Amino acid sequence: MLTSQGSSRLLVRLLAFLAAFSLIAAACGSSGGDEETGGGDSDSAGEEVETGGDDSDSGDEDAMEDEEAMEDEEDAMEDEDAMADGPVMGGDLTVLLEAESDTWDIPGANCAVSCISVMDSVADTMTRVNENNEIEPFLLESYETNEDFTVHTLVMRDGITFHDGTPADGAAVHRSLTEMASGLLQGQVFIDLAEGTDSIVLVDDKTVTVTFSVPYATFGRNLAGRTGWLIAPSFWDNPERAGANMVATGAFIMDEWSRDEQTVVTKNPNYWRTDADGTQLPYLDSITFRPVPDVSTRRATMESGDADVNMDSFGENLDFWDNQWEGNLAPTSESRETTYLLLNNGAPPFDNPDFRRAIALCTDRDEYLAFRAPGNQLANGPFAEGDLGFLDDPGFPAFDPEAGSALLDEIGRPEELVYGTTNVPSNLLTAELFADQWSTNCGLTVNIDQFDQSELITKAIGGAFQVFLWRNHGQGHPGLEYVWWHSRHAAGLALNFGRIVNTDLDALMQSTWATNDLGELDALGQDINRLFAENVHNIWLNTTEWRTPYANGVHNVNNITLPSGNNEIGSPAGRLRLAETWKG
Amino acid sequence: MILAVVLIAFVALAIWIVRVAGWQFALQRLGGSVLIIVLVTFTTTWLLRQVPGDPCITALGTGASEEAVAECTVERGLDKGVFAQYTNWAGDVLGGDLGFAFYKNRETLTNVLQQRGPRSAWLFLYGQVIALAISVPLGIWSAYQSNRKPRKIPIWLLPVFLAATLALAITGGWTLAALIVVAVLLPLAIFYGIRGGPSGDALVNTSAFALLSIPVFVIGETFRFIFAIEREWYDLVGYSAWSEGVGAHLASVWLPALVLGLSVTPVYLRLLRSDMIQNLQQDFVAVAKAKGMSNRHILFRHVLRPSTLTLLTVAGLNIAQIINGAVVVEFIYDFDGMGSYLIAAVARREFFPIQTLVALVATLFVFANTLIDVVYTTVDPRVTAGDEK
Repeated sequence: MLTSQGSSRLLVRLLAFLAAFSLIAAACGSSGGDEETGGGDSDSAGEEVETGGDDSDSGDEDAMEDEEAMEDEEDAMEDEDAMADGPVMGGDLTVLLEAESDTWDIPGANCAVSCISVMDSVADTMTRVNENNEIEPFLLESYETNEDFTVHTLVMRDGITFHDGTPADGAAVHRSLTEMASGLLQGQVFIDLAEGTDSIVLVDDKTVTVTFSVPYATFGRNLAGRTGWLIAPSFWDNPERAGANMVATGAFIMDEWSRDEQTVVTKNPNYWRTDADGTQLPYLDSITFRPVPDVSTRRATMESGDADVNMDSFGENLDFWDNQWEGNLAPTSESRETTYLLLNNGAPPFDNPDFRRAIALCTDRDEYLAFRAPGNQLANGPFAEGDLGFLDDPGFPAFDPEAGSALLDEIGRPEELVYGTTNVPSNLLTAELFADQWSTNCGLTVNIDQFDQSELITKAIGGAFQVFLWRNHGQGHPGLEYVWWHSRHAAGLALNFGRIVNTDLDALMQSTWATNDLGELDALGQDINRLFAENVHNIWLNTTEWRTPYANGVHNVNNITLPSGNNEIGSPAGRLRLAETWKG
Repeated sequence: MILAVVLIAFVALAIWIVRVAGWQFALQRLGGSVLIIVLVTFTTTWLLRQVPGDPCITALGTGASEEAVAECTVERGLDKGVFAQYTNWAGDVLGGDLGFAFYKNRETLTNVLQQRGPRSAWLFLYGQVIALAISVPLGIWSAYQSNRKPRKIPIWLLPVFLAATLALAITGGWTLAALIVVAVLLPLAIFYGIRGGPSGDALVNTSAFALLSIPVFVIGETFRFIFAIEREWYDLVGYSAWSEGVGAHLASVWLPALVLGLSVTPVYLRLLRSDMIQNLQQDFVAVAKAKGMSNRHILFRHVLRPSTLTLLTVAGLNIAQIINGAVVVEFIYDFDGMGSYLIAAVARREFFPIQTLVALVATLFVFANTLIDVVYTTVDPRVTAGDEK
């Protein structure tokens, strides 16, 4: 029965396959941005419209471009009108996060971009960094240090209460700092306390002093970050606090935390801040944070208009946001993380500075940038352009395979080089690129060792690796990088993952803690930059770019006005500041 | 609560099995089930310990001190041998303590199951309903049509058609070519559908093959683009529970369920069609025809029931999706079910919750397959289970 109809079936099958393919192609081809969300097309068809890739449809595309341009112009005018009318009270914001937070118990939490974004909506920091890169008191009434930066005096503002109604006073500051100092991760900030937590002293009902055994000028900046979130005693007292909702003083109150689903924060009616016109902040009624780990799902959700704000550092999406959401991208700080090859300076073969230099000479970073990190900027040092310590050319070895090969001929080649990477396909592609470069350019035998993400961390802190692809730094101040580079953090389970032991670097890092002068810090940062280039402790690759797209009708994302009237410096690495955001 | 429901279901199943298949069959199955569950969970426990990476370092993070890691290791009993860890875990689970899902924030596994279990279960149920609703009628129709007189289309039409399409694409653009191809093929497909016969069967079969060859993520991403981004027929807002209203619930689940349903539809369709074609060639069908019974009567009363055995078996094996979840669909539609949790748990080296979930999957498998073995006897009286018949 089946053989008698072979040819007919073959034909029908092929035609049906064509039909299915055509249907999909036709559906995907029918582009058209969702102008309500300020978005555009999500796929290559849409991008071709921008690049004019298909001549045959150019007439239609031109018409579409004109139409889109007109609509963009209308949107821009509407935005301008809305801004002129001023903030609108009320409204709910849906924000997409790249990850869920493990816990709000900050002293021991790996609180990254998503966690910080939620925390900043519910908790205020004691200080902030203004647009001139200076520390200003925020939740505090005043913040001062003695001349050698060993004694820090924190005076709490009057009349502020936590979400549970209890006073946010000096005792609360004392408790918060003590808890942070006792924490697994935040304890690192307080490692140089003169006499342990006894050095955190409640002087009167508003004043707390913190005394360190060494100059510690960066402490004020720590207070503008995770360390400085003022958290209510009721949270600290909660025996289940690892899984509890945050209680703090922020613009919003954490009402609901359905793990991996959503965190809902609602307006704090007793918030202490007003805007320049005296209007009570925040403007929004609520914010729903939705963790959506998949980048394409986040992008699709924005395009469909089902969310208001997104965060994205996925290289292949950068062009899309820049082109299709131009005018709907929130400002960010110039501080950016750096992606680099983390070398284990504490074990062969990378304990040999000549070998590190040879590998740098054999590495074609432009090729890496073109194929693996399009849309990002080449980095020659740990500090991004615009940051303290940035140098366009600190002397990092440029690609020179002949020189690299000659150096390896001189010092000898190891039997094999092991490049460790996670079992993520994109990371494997990067690993293969470098393995190929080192093998082809300099005759090295490179093996790629793949493992799970969690093992990467274990291996990094245990020093069980030769070379990893890594992303870190970009905190806007060289002194804040202390734990990653100082030799006292290079032993055992070490945060100085690269096991860098360099007395000159130690001295420079110590110096960054002894001054608040931005010019001096810039000079110190530049010295650190040159020192890294000279010793090739790491192989710098690129700065990491983030985009924070928001929907039409959303205003003032990442804009915080400080009590002094200055603006905050800007939000680094995709972090969101939504206390003064409004919809309308 | 969950344990109570599982227990009640288990007791009810046991009573039914005893009634249908007798004591001996029930005891054999119970003994076999316990053995399978013990073997699966112990093997999982042992294998997990071979995976590199320290669960405590993973949980506590990069800044963990050696003391904190050591404390965590002792607290979780990870310093003991594999067998001791297994017996401790089994004792806790049998005592109703499922433990923490995530050591770092002390989230309990019971909470995770309560939050995520229903959404995976509903997604599975709706997906199965959609798949069966499409595959059963189409499978029956396709099998029936396969036996009718064919009408051939000249084979030379194929290269001509392809060349014409290519020429059109080059001169007029791919969009126009795609539109014209669809304009030609859709009426052709409708014609075959109405006309029936082997060509109709071939159309259904080819469509099933085409669907089978498209990965679920392609269907999911395409449907997301068409229905969520282009047309706003579906909101990408995640799952809404029944408690948020029937409308909100169904609105949140219809598209992922459709994608999941379509991904298994061709499998069910092909299985049913092939079993039905086989049964249509049996002597009892010829006898029924000779007796003058209508085609409908023969198909539905005499052929369909014995043809569903393979379909039931495969549907039973799919039940693991309730726990495993439809991972890809969950990711695409931000559906946070058991699948994404299981992946996260593996990545975090949360050994004990993984063991518990594997035990649940094994139990469900055994439960479902025992149920199906007994259902066989109802569907096809010629099949017997146990010693009663």
